Amino acid sequence: MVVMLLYYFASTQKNNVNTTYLIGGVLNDETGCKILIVREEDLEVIKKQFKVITSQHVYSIQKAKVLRDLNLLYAVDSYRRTKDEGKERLGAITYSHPVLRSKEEVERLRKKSRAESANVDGKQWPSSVASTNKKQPVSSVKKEEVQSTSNLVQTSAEISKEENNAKKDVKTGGIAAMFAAQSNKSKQHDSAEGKSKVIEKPAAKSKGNSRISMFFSRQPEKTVEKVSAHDDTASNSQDKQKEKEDEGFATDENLKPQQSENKEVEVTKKSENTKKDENTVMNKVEKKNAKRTGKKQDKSKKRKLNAEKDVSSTKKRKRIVIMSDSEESSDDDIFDKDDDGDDEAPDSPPPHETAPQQPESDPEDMIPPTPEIEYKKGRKRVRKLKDKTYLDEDGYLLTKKEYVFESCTDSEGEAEKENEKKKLKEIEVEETTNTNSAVKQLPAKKKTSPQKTKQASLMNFFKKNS
Amino acid sequence: MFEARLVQSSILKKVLEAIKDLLNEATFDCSDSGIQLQAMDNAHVSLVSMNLRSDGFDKYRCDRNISMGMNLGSMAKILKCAANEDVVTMKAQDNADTVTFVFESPNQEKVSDYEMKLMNLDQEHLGIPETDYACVVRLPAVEFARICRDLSQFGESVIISCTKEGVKFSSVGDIGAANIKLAQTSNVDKEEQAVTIEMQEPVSLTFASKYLNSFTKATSLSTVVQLSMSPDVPLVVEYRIGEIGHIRYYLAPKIEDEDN
Repeated sequence: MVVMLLYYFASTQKNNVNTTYLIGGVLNDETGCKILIVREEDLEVIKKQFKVITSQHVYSIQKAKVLRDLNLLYAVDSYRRTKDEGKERLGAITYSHPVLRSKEEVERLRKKSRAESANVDGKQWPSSVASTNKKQPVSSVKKEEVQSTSNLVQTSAEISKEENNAKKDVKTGGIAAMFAAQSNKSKQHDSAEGKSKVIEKPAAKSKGNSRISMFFSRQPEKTVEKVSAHDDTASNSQDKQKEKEDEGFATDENLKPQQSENKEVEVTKKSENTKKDENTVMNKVEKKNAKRTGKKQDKSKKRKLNAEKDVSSTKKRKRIVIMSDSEESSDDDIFDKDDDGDDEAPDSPPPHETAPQQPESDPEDMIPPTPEIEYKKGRKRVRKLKDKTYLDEDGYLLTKKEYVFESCTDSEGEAEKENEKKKLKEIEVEETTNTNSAVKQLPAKKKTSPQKTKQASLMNFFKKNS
Repeated sequence: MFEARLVQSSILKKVLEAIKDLLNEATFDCSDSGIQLQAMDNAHVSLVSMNLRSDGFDKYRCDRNISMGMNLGSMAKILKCAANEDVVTMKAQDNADTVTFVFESPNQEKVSDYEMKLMNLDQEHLGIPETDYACVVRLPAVEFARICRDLSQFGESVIISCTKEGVKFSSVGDIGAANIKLAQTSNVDKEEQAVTIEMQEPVSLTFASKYLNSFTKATSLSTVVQLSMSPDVPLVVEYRIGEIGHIRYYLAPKIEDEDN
């Protein structure tokens, strides 16, 4: 109706106003469809570009002789959008039935639209230009959000607002991650781990930088690393912007739908996110529990009897602690390794541990074998998975985890030897503390096993000259 | 207008053989000082940096800096059309989308020219920091190629350990372990056959033998290869290209998985 009114008005006032038309249809050269905003005087020329014109109506009317910049039409309600985003828009193209697209699809469309725009390059239709212009304010806002969330998310990620932001992170995360870590291509594929880590991805990014800086910091110049980190972040943001622009390209036919798409996607993802949050919380709790129980058990063993099983179990617990530590640290850097550990370890095993451990530690003098066995059973299953990975790596390498695993299996049938345990404990504690250094020293010999070493990317060492 | 004339087309052929294993396409940056090429392999693990100085050419003219993105496979095909003793000339107009290779036989009786389409490649130049390497080993290029080839039979990784006594290449795999030790040659009769080590501190690094093998494709360019290593820094494998330039390969070390 509005359009008809406009048309009527335009036709009656033809001489007094400047009319802008919106024209859409299939292009002559079969490269796709286009929707353009066109000045009245250009209308006929542009019509010839289309094979089929699906819509043509009055888009805007001004009481001016010449509208120099069509972008103005887009900018009309830009301030509104920044205020209350997308709630109400004037003058922009809207589409009430957005199609929810998968990431791949969007990617494909994006490429397509890029190709199209490249084809029509020389003509520089205002639509594409305008759309990019239009998108920029939004993108910048989003960027800020993203940055802020990246700071916040790690500390407390459970607020719903942040969830939303986190989702944005999820979206851009893929791209940003791709950029930041072309080197880490292989790592990114670990979708499983991805979930629990998605939220922390920004951190991962920054730590990726820190890894670079690690390497550079050993070089004489420290300034270099700072610069490199800076560059990276800067280029990241640039990329994000580009991304946004690209989105603008892809969706310039239906700008609004994109937003609604976002919303829908968010809605669908919300559930996922909450799960993630729960997971992360669970992880933390579990880790804490593991540590506590480990301590308790240590004490109990020292005080009391029990068999080497205890020792082994404590060892196990220690391992767990180590694992969790490594997880924490690895969260930052490496995705590969985490995936093995995280999925198996934190999710399923710790619950087993925590539950049986308490009864064990409290009634220390209680019949040791039964609870232990139960406990071990629970653990064994879990542990087995973990240990498998270690076993896979190398049969006889001195990795502590392996040793622990063996000791627990052996210890199950054996009797108690307290003194030995204590000694063992002490030794092992020392060993565990030394492991890191030991591992570093030994690798020269061990390194040959392919699993233990990972190919680093050159991007970790050299920074891009933008 | 860009024009570079090289009497020994074999050099260019060898250069291409040396890089086409690692790179599918690369940008030749031509400037007044010469031709540079820097590109990473697809996995971003290794980097090739080549430099051909302008004074090494018999005739070199570059009015304006141009970057020519070339498909190295195509370029290799073209260069295979040149005989070793041919004189090769590369030509390109400013802003042209093709490059022309002209091969002239020594007696000028046969002249062939090949035009190749250029590509638009994303330029991603990396800044390579100046590094004082803890170990610099020079050894016969053939020897290095042989070692890499031999060790690659054992495992995916080669550990290069450098001490005062010498340099050790080792690899462990399913079939067993291999160690090759090269001692520093005491009396140097021929410089090309010498193994020399300049060392500030011992270094031991692990590298993917696959890449090392690719690097050794440049063996025909030079009699000597120079390996530069520092802890946790990419290895540099450098071959000199006659009197005209050099080709350097950078290879990121394999790092401990557990450390992370």
